[in-house]
Amino acid sequence: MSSDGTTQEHLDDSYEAARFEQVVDLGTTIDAAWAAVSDPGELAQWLGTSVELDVRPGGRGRVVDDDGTVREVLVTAVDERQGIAWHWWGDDGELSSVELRLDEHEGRARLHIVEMVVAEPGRFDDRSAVARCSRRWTAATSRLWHHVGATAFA
Amino acid sequence: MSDTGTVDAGTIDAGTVLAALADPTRREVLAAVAARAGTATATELALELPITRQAITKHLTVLAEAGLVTSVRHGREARYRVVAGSLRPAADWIAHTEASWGRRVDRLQRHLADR
Repeated sequence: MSSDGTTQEHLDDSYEAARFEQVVDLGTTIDAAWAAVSDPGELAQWLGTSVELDVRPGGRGRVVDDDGTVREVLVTAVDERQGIAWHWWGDDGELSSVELRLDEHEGRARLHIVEMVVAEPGRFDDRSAVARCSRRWTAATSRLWHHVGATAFA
Repeated sequence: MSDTGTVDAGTIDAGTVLAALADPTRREVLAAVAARAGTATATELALELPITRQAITKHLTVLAEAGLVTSVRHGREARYRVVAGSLRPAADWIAHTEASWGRRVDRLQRHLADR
């Protein structure tokens, strides 16, 4: 996630395969919105039917969707009052990245949601290919990917 | 997959399609095939794309493995054709993801309203 709030710059990764974007007016303050997207207890109220997440860069966790899909999660970025990003992958091996970014519009918090397929891990038999998928992410995120995220493909 | 340009949705794996589409050059190759009335040879594509014929052939092979194109031999060269409906898995992923986030956003907004 870029520090200047320009999600597009960060997420415009040429290796994406499919992308979903949505902007939501949350009708609340940035502080309340930030708590909702970053506090594990509050995330558990809406992100899935079961949410266990260590909300810090490199933090791991698990989210169960309301359709029963179980996703392992790796937190890749946490920017105070600006946003949070993670990778998650389910039993089918599909890996996608999620970025939730906050900004303020006319005094109300807006949530920008971006989810995109980064790679289907089973297709790659070497980790350098996975690293290439995230070549435009921040250096910190790339280091995380090599040191922590790669275990997902072990 | 049949050789009539149609495809059985059950034979296409979403992950394979998404992985094939993850490479921007491969998407460019697929788009170039589609632009040539949906059929092209690697030689024809090499004339219009800044990629070697060998690289194009490799990309076409991956696209074929993902069910996005099919090929028919014409003399010494294979002619590739876009498979109709083969992008459906990618579209399905977007629709599924949109529905999932719709439910999450509903819960989030209720949560914020109840605070």
